[in-house]
Amino acid sequence: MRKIINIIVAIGLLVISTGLISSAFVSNIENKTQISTEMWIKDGEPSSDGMACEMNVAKDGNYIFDIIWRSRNEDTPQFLTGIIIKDANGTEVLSCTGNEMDMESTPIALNKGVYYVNFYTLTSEEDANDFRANHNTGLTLSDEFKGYADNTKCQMEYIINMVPETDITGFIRIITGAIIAIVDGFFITKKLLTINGQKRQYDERQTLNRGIALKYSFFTLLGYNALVCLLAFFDVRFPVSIGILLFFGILLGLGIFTTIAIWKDCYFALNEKKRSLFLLFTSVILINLCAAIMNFNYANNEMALMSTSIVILFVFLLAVAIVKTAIDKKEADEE
Amino acid sequence: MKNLKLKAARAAKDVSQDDLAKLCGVSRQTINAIEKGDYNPTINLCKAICKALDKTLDELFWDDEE
Repeated sequence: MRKIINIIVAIGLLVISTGLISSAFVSNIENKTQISTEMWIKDGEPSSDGMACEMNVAKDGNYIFDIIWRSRNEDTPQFLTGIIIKDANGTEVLSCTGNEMDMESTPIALNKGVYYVNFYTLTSEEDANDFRANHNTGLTLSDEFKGYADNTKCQMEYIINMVPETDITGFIRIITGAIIAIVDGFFITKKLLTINGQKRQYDERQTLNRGIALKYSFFTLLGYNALVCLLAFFDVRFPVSIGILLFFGILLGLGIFTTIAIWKDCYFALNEKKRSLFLLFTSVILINLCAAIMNFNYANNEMALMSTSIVILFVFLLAVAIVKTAIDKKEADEE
Repeated sequence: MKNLKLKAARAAKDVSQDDLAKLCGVSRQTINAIEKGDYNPTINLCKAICKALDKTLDELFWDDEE
């Protein structure tokens, strides 16, 4: 049982460290924009025209646009959407037209800065022809497109992904990040499973309490994942991706296990020095803080959010460990 | 229920919780939890504590009121 607990804790920390180290060294600057809106055409007039958003390019390079738009229900949009992406000077970078779209652009050289994405609703063939002539775009129509409707309604979802073109330096960075993560993971696992080459020793009360902590952590994680699945099933829109939500679940489980274990005096093994773990916690906080700052700078908001949440968790755990140590010291002095 | 017999026996031998914990191979908090009645030790740990304090199981862990 003790071994299983150790392995689970090791896997948790391995996942976290892999994520943070990779995020710090791998320049994964994906920039994603997702808009979900109800569009309707009444008497040939669109509900909204001129919808716009911004995308931030953190550094010069070649980028590939992955553009998807589609209906979120059974209805096929009986109108076209035109998208134009312009740089800050107003120079057109990319444009495309269609009623539904799933396209990947060729690599486009972009400079650092803000790019503006404008959405246009085209409700007639004349509008569409004008738009295509002015912006020199192709046209994508799905098989279900039955012509322009004067009165129609559709729940639309627009997703624009801007991904840096993977070149050899990017590949080297990914490999470097992976090697560092593996080495780091190896040392953390070794550190967690042994102390100076010896097995971690817990007494019977500690083993019992670790089991209780693990039980609470496991059922919390199970409940959390069930809740996320339920909300996803009912099509609830999350402010972050499912991957991030699941990561939060791991952090929640880890946080609950560690907090209970520290509070019930069963986190530190009998043959373990608390100071080394305080140093480990502090280094995790510092590394993640760096990763969060780097990711915010690269506008890689999801990775920054992950690193920030790890910082918050470990600051909390460090505080719990410090308070508990102080209580223990006071208790031992009084005794 | 607090185990005052254990606390008294430990005090009589002038052994701290930490020292007794080391003799028994457990944490100080475990000894503290036993004394406070927050944890019921296994028979193996009871035996280890008795050996460390030169007492019998009856002397330390038998409840006279029963």
